[in-house]
Amino acid sequence: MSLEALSPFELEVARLLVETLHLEDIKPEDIAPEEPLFNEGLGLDSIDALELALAISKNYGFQMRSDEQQNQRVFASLRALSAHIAEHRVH
Amino acid sequence: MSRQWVQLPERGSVWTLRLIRWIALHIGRPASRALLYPITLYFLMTAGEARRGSRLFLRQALKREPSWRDQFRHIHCFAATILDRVYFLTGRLEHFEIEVFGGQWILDQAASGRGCILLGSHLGSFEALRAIGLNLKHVPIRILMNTRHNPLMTRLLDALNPALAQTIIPVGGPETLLKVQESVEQGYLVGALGDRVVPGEKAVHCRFFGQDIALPIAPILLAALAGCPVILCFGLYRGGNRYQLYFEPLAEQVVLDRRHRQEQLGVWGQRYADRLEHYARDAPYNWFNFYDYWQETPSLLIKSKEGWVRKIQKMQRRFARQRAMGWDGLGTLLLSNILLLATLGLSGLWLFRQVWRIARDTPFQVVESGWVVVLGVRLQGDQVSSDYACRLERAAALCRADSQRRILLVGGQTGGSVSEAERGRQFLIKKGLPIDLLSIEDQSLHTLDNLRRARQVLGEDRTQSWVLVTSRYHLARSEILARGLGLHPVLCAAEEHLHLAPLVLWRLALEAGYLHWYKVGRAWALWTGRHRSLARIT
Repeated sequence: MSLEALSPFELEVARLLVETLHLEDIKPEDIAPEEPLFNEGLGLDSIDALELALAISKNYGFQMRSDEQQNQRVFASLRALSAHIAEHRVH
Repeated sequence: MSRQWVQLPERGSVWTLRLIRWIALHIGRPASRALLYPITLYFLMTAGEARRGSRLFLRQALKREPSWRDQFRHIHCFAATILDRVYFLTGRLEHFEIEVFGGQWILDQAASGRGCILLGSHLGSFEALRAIGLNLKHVPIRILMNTRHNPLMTRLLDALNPALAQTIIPVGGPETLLKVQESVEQGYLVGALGDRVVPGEKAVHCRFFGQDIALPIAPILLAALAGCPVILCFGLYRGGNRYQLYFEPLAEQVVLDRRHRQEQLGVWGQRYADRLEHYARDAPYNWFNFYDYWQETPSLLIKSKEGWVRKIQKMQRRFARQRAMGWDGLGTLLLSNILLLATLGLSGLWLFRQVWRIARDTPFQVVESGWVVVLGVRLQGDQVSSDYACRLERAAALCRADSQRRILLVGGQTGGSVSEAERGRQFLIKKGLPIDLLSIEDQSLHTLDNLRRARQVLGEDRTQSWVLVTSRYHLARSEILARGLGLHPVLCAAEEHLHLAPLVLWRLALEAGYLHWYKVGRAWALWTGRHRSLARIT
């Protein structure tokens, strides 16, 4: 268990993440909200990012763009990603 | 020791790239191509790692032990395509006879307005393919490229064709493939090379020439996620000014099922590997992965993640070094050869005369006391070679003649399990020299480095005289390099006389060639005001 508890929405995004990327040995509630998702941390890569972006557009109805500056921030952690989705979601 | 006689500028610079462009565009292709022969010979002699990679691949592809001619042809083919890059990137296609097979696949795809993945490899020239894309203005192309590990290529592109540089999608960061997917959606044909795995990348095992390799899954997975076709492309160099471009569909659509994704990706990877093998058999000298392709790739998968990341990083640093050496070395080497041609070889002959005179006239005895510096020689099977033994014997004799003398051995670990200096010390101890007279410096890897380190040990007191012992053929270069560093050694030849055997003549000629290159490189660095690179040789 991580020291910090996830908000309900963060937990939802964490579930989507684990499901989409088939992270079999990770439980959604175990993801540390501030930990980096890519490279170190969860160790996701560019393929995972693409899959995640596609899943997000399917589930929340908005397209993630490849704008570099923004993505560095958005993909930084589960918390940042959740905040970004919450801000842009259509449904 | 003489593996890299002098590492000229470490990194390519705009100047060197301009030089290469200038040579290629102004001297003309035929004359530039004539220069490829000495350059190929040089790389064949010095780039041991690449030569080994070449041999391993050719052994598989030719089904026999490759001769040195095969290897020469292999490296020459590579050098020729590098030179042609300049013409392709500047849009000078009139030099070439280009045959296109399956071009309709590309045209149809572009006409459909749908994007696709153009999957290439390090077999042949990707630039030749790109050039075609430039010529067909209505075919929108973007290229996925590792700009971070390939800064030189990026700069070359920027310098040669800024418009083309705009079409690069840089690899790195989570958004890379998102960008690719967007491009495909906008109808771009996105080019990528599918035969090398980079750190942290997911891969599948495939068979290639009957042995295991790892291939990246990104291109296929990308096609599956974007729902677009994959078209294979190969730009094969056929010698002279002939290129053949091949296009063929790999997949109209890639459908992956979640549960069996890895196996399915493996099947697609294998189809790619099969086509790659087909073309690699057809044009073996176009294989431009100059490392042990079978050994290095699969072992990456087996090792623990950190282990193989480090291993690939090491590999990439090595590539980067070779490439850096490639461009800057190539630039000044080209210039050096042009000067040789322009002076009808007289400039080389003049240096040969200088090398030969110093080799002939340098005394075997010296009167100076103080430090005796011995330059190391590459060990043979961890043992002292006959050249090295000669130098050591001479130093020992000098020490016995004058008790004021001390010996400094310089030479790092160049291939063997022990450094040249350490082995030299053991040799001298066996010869009965007291251990406290012997100092070693075993970090340096080539003559210039040896001298630079020796300078540190000897201190900045330039008035103190010291003796430099080395083989006769090596004296001229050592002296000139030392003077470049502000050192003024008293030279002492290792051998009593210069024996003009064919091998010695060859060595003298080689030394003259090195010196020619050094002088041209130095003049070039001075002229273009490249103080950083100059700092390496002064």
